Amino acid sequence: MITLLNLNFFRNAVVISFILSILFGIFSFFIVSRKMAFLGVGISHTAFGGVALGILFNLNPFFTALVFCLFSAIIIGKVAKYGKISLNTSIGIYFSFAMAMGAVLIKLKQSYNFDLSGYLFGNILGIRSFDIWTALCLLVIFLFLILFFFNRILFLTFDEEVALISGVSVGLLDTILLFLLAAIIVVSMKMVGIILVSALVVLPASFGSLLSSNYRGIIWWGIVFNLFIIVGGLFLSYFLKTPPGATMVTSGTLIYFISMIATYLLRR
Amino acid sequence: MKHLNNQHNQKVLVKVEDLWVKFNDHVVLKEINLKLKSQEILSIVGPNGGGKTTLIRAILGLVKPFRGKIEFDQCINYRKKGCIGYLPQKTQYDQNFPVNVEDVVSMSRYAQKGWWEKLNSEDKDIINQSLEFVDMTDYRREHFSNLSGGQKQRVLIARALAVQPKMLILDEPSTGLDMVAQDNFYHLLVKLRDQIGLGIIMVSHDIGSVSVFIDRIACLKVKIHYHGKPENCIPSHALEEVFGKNVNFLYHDKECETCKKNHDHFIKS
Repeated sequence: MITLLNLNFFRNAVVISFILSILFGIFSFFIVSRKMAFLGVGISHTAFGGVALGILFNLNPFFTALVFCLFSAIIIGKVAKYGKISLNTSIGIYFSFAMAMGAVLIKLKQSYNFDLSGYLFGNILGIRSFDIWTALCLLVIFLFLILFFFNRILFLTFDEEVALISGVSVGLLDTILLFLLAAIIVVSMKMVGIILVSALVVLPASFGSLLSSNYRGIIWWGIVFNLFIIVGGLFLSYFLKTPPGATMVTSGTLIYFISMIATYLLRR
Repeated sequence: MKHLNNQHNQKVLVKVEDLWVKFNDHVVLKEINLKLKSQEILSIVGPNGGGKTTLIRAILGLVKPFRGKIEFDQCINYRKKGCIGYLPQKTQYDQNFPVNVEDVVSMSRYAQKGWWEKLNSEDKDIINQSLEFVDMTDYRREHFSNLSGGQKQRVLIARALAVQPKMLILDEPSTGLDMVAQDNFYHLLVKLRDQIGLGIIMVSHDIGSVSVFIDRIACLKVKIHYHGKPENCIPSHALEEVFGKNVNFLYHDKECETCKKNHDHFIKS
């Protein structure tokens, strides 16, 4: 174990795992409560298009993915509004487009040696200290927001329009939250992968709501669950020699299913 | 009736002048003129799709008018610090949201504070008073999802009161409530009008039972077909224009025995 932590890349991965556990643990509650789970799927898959753009133009894929995701979140909203379709339909259209476009762009840049499965399913060897600093910045910003704006965010999660009328700056808070969600998803890309990261958006709150019917309990259990599956999954993946993202999501989902059945049987 | 004695103190809270609302090219509301004073209950009735909800959403600033003016009294510091209490339709919020009753009412207080501020004893008092007013103090630690429909409505009224509004806007508040819960709810509205002096706009599709305790009624189907006191009896042509010809109304007035009883009951209590 100690020799494992002496490995630079693995230490980075552990630090990021802790940060992501807290970030997703809290975020998950708000996303799931607003029934926006599919937005997480949409943003994460869209990131692939952004990564491809970065590779095509020789830019840092992190930044292109981040900008592209934010830009896409706005476009998804506009398509839903002007196409008169639901937000979920719009996400469904857009995320497959973004992935397809990414595949086309990467093929155009044939000379590039691209670690496709690393981006899709995660590759902890790709984690640099830059990723850690970005994750830490996000954590600080997010905790600041939670510390001072938690009750307003709770209000708008419960009832957006009444929150607006009662004096909450719904539009601004929503935009900040969307920005943070996109950033967190992009940061976790190397760890968990584009395809799998959306599981971390939905699993913690789903698990938490099995154990608690109060938002505080749901959030705390969500964080505990995350620490268990993200940090635990990282070590497990090392010993099983399996991809870390896939290990985390598989074990996390299994734990969720087992807990669900257990609580069902206990309450019967 | 207590509120009638104070009528000279009533001020106009909101004035709607020649309001038009269009969705795409479809006219949803036209030529709407409406006033709400303090210490009065105005009920907006009409068929589904008649534009009732659109009208209150326009007043709340959630729908952009195509034409016309909506003016508020100075006491309504519009949106910045609340001042309008709003009870949305049931379908708008999550009935099983994982909070307790006190959390729900506190939300309104947090919305009124600066982001760096915590709730102080004054806020706590307001929360307690709001809960007491709707008679839900005993349920303050109860999960919101465990409450009955009528109790949920009461908690949401308490949340609206915690804004310390001058005006309440209620969208179909009686939907899904049984007769007793409805009666209690209307009773609460009368109390809010007479004791706090709120102006209340209530959207309803039930014109029979509301006519007993409200001050004015507006029949709405795209435009306002009747606007006046319910006691004057809504002219039958107005009801026909709004609801169609194939409807018979069992209309309550002061001569009706049940109404008399209800009326006395409202005044007494």
